[in-house]
Amino acid sequence: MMLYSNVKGAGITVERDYRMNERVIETEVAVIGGGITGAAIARELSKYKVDACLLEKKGGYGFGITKVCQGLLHGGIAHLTSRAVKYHGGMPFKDYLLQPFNLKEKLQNIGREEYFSLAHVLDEEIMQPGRLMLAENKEDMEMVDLIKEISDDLNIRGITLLDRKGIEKLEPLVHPKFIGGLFDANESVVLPMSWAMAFAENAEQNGVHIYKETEVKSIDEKNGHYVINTNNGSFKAEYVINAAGLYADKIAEMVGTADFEVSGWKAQLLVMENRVNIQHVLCIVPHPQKRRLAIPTTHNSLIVGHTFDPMTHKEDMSTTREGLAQLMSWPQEFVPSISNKHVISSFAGFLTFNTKKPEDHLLESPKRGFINAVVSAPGLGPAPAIAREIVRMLADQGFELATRSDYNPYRYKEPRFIDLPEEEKNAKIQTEPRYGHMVCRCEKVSEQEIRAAVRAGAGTLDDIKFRTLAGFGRCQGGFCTSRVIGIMAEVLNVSPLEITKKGGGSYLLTSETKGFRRSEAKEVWG
Amino acid sequence: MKIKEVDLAIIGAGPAGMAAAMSAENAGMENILLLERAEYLGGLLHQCIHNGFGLHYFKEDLTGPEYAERVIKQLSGMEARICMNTMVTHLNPDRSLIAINSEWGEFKVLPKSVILAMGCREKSRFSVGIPGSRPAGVFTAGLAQKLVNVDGYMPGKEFVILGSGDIGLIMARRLHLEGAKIKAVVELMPHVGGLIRNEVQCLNDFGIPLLLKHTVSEIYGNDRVEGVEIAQVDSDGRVMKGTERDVPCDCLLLSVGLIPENELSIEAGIELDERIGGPIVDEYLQTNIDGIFAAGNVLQVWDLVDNVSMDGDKTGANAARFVGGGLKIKSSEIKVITGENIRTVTPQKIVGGEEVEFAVRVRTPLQNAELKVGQVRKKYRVLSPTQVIKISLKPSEIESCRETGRIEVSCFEREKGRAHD
Repeated sequence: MMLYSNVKGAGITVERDYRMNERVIETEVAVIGGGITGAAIARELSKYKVDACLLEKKGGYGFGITKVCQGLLHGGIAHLTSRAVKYHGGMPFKDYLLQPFNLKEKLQNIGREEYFSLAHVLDEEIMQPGRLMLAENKEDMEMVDLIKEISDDLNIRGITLLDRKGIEKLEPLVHPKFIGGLFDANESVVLPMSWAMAFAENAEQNGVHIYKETEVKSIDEKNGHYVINTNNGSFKAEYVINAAGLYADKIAEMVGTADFEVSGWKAQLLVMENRVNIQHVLCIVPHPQKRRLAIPTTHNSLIVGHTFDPMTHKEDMSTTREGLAQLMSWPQEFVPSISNKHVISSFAGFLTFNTKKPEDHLLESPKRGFINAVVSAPGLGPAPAIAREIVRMLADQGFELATRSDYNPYRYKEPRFIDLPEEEKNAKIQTEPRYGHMVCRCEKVSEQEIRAAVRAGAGTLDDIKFRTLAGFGRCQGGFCTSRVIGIMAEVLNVSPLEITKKGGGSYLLTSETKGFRRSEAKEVWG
Repeated sequence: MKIKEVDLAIIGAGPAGMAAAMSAENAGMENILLLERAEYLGGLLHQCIHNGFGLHYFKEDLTGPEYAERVIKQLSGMEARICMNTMVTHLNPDRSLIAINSEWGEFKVLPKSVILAMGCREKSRFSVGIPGSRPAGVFTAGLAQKLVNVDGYMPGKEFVILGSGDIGLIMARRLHLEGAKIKAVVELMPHVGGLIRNEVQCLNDFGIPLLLKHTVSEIYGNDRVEGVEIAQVDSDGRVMKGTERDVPCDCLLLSVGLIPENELSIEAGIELDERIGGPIVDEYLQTNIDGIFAAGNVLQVWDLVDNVSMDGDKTGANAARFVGGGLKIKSSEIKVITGENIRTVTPQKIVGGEEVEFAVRVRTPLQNAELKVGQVRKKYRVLSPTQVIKISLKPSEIESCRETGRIEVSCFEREKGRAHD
């Protein structure tokens, strides 16, 4: 911490010494991890008369691997294409594809369906653009024909075989090399972090206690219950649900049941402005270990991905030179007129799996009262179904599940100001003029929305970014960062020097400038 | 919804927009509305506290804030209505626009003419594809400039600056004077991106190291930047394997280029010149939509604010002529061709029969160069891609090209000079 040694308030870090905080909070069920899985479990639990806590290491929901996933819910023929990618020989290819759904695929399908009904209930966005699989040559077309044939056998609806004219009708600008393809109307897209927040907020509304910036350090077993020691006090729980994602193996280790590791693939992705107005998810015909997608998002950008490298270190979510070089050559392979000038961002995420059952989720209870909810990618689509499964497992262990009569499934999400109809905008500005002051020019976020987000608990610049979208757009905070820092400092009543990008030591500013004393400036200028 | 009917709406009250407002009013226009999203006039001038502004426009050496103040003083005596803290959210092909502020709420403007003066923005680490982790401490140079010069905060202690554009060079000196250590200014190209005077006055005079033909090839650090990897690049700008080395620092500043801010223009259906990023214009700086003009950095990124003001002057007068029915458009259009050694030219087309001022940027540094526009030739001792050259042609010199419908701009060295490095 030498770096900040002369900064006022440098001693204040988010991490607190847990021994200093000796409070013990008693609860029936503790869910560890506020990613999409943990948040969905918390919401599922909140339907019942249960005293539950959600413990999240970071300052927001889904800040681990949820944040960096592509946002696809799959469905339709997705399980066939992902099987095709994994095919290593053995049985004939068609038989391999025709195998019945495994548990993972079943949960995927159930969970995915649930998102559509939940979108309305949780006030979240979901888009169903469909997926256009593009074939380059005869061999590709054979694969397309095969998948179409199987999808007919399985009675999957919404699948259309297309020739060149057909793909042009859907996406007029696609590369001339594509001779045909397959359209799957089922593919849908969400903003994953936003959904994690929706699940968690609705859970909180229904009585689940949420503890953010609460990192589990150790777990003790005492007289048939668990004591979870964190930097933020201890939690005495009868049941522990391990939804710690990337670190689920470390949590399992704490109760001496680590018979698996969380491993995975590192995937790098590119975010671009969707200037060419791509309307559908585009992908190439699947080949083993080769996935290439262009995904239009719910906020008018395009995600291009992804590279596929072994995960070397869990903390290493950095992009690489080789990865970016590859990614930069892909957009034009889909649509030649896309310009790389319109790249907004790039990031890396992990496609995780557990080493015990690499092809399936690890939903099991290695010892009484302790349940692993360890997903293998993709984890977004199945989350609501996994949540249900985990709660069922709780019941199997004798936990009494009595439904709550006052359970409220509905969550109200403040709509983005800029999306309101004109009369509502003007009514809001009349009562609060700060709505009329736009701070983020790219995503058009008002000062009032930023203030409200800070008051609602957004404590870092990244929190603000994911809650309000300020700094999410094409300039990546070039214009609004200094304003957002100022607003945050004012609302939180701290010095701008204490504002961080993402908690911990990620301070944005290091000192005041030389010879400038704010107090003196006040004396002179009033 | 409130509706404002005006003769001219100007989007942006930086140097271009302010000059446009005054010039339009001087040309007799009355009902002018100037819309500015910030809480102050002058755009980014107020954070540019160094000198070197106004040598051409005011024939004086001014700082950014002085330059702004001078223009603001002139403007304050005029009738044009100014709306601060006002964001234009939509621009339509029929020139109508939607804006929002605290006073009027969301309102509509129905202008007879529009001047685009939205300026430009900085490229981020992502648009130039710098790999690595995502710690705090990676800033664009302009944002750092605002933090230091306006807000009074330092964004770091030990800096590496990528890009030797003018803002990068200016910030190297500024941060050095604030007691920071500038480990290096790193430039991909074999030559400095900014003005020669800035290379001398900002780097050489303070002994700040400059690494040409280098780039930042990776960013390290979890919470805060802990260092960057610097590497040599080949002639295509690709990292040369084996030349990488780590440089510890806690801040990376990026001065890697500016992009004209044309999101509103695109929405309205204005055609852009992909190479420049600004609208395709005729010699009146009018876009493909009649009555919508573009001035300053939204049209092309200028090296000097003086040129931005001059653009504003031009468009203000032309908007007044347009509304008064005085813009004379000929039936045949002359296309401006970007020829040898030329990176960009504005205007991209000629539609009238009056004098035309071209703004030309060459592709590579040239010695003893000759610039050719149609049949007109002009000699230059040195031409640099960092500087825009202006050259005017008389109506008679344009007329000769009307038959072919095209006029080519090209540039070449008259004799091989010393290689510029």
